[in-house]
Amino acid sequence: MFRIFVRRKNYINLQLKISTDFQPIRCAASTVNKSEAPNTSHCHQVNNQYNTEITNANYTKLPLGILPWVPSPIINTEGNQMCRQYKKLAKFRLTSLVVITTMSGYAMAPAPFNFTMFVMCSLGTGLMSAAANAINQYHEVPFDSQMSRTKNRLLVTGQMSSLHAVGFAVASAITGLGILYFGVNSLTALLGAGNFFLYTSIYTPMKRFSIMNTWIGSIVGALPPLMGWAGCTGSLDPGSLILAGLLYAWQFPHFNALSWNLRQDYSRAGYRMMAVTNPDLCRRTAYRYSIAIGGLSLLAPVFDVTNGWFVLESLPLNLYFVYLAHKFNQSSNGGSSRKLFRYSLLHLPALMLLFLANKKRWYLKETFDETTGIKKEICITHLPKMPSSLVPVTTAAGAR
Amino acid sequence: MHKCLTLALPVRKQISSPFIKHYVTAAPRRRPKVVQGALAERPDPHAVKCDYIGPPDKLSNLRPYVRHIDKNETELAKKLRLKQLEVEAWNIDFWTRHNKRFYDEKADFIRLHKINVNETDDTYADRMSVFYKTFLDKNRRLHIMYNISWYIKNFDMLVLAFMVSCQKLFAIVKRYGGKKV
Repeated sequence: MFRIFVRRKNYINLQLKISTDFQPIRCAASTVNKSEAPNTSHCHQVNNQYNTEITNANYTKLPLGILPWVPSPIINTEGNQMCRQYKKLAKFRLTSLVVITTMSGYAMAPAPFNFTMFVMCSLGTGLMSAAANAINQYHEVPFDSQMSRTKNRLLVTGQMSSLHAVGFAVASAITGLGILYFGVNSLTALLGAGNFFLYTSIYTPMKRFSIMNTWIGSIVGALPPLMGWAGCTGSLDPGSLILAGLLYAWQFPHFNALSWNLRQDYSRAGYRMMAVTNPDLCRRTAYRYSIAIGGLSLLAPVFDVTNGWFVLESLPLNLYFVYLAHKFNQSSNGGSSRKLFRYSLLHLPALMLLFLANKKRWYLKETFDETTGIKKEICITHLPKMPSSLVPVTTAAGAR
Repeated sequence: MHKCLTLALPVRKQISSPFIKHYVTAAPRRRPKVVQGALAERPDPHAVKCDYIGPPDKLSNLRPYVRHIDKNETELAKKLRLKQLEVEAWNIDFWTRHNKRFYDEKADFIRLHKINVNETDDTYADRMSVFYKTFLDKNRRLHIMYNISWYIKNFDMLVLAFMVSCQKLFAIVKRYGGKKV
């Protein structure tokens, strides 16, 4: 057991018997970068065969252990390690975003809010999304290992076997579909199954065949709010297409900005993306679809999804988005693409919140008059419609 | 929010520097986990009890596997192991050659167009994007063929792995069934 102290300007003698091609041991051998490295004033490394401790600020991602050859699949020592692995397999953050869009689709639908169905819809969608992401990771192992963004994924580093991942995907998909079919309704289950198929069997292989994969991928992103809407009302109205269309249009500036900085990796790994094959198209579509987002927001009151105030509130949000996309179109570089990408991450949740805040009517209760056979819905209008006042309004609706 | 995070977790040594500040106030990194069974050198397939995976190969970027050999390996398990070795070798070979081609052609392009690698990011990226496009288009058919082959091989490995795990499960059930009787 021995310690190695790194002082800023000194060399260190590395006296560990470790395979030298293990790159992340930059702590001990990082003197090459001593002029660029920030204040690495204290880095100590205690190494016996089983216990390692590195506290160097130069690392961004820590490897599994200092010893490079590890068992595959990883031997589980902690209780919640399996949970953490499943979260990584399911791309938890992406799945959460999908579930949030589904929840907002459910909340925006013009029908009474049933909490149980809401939870089932969200859970079912989340499980389907997790399954789709697991299958995607199973398919893409050699490609993910080529790109620096994805080379630390679970199956690439061998922490889980492919069979286990596919087993998780199958179990998750069956459970999700079951929840959607029995707990919500068959339309939602159908949309969920369709989305799963679209993502795993069409979008994933197509990434290497043609740039049309981006359009298919946008449809995949647009289906969850439709699932939420269908879960609430049982059918798809023109209003649902506003939400779906917004999410479809949003994918383009979001993804095109992201892919702009990854052109080298995409080219080497063989991914056919607009940013590599047709940069002009990449810029143009980002710009055009940001304008489409603005246009769709203007149409929201027309289809009774939101009230008129929504237009005014969403205008600054969308105009800034269009401005950033315009800047990206004119001079696309690392800076403008990053700005557009980061703003797109803010823009979507903000827009969803505005939708919820400006929903046309909140349906509280549905009553069915047995003598006359008329269904009545008691609903409340949140903010004053332009320009009438705030009163609970009962509307008579015909039998659905 | 950052303050709450740093208070809740073990206090790290405060390094005061304009460069480190950003890093230290972010969510503290976890300590490296102790990985059970980790080894320093490539193990011998007969000597280990489970499969091992190593650091990424510099040329192909893929991680090499060492498939262990059980003493009483069944026919099916042997078939799986041989299939895995074959697919892994094929993969490493493909990507080694492909990556070498990429870097060679990139160096040629830089030399031909006299591109200054240390130019400001944007100009360099714009000029290199021409190369990225031509390389991708040139290798389109190769990638499609590789993709199809990879999907088929991957599926074969999956099916074999499933059959082997079923076999192991039956063996365990038989053993327990025998004990109960």
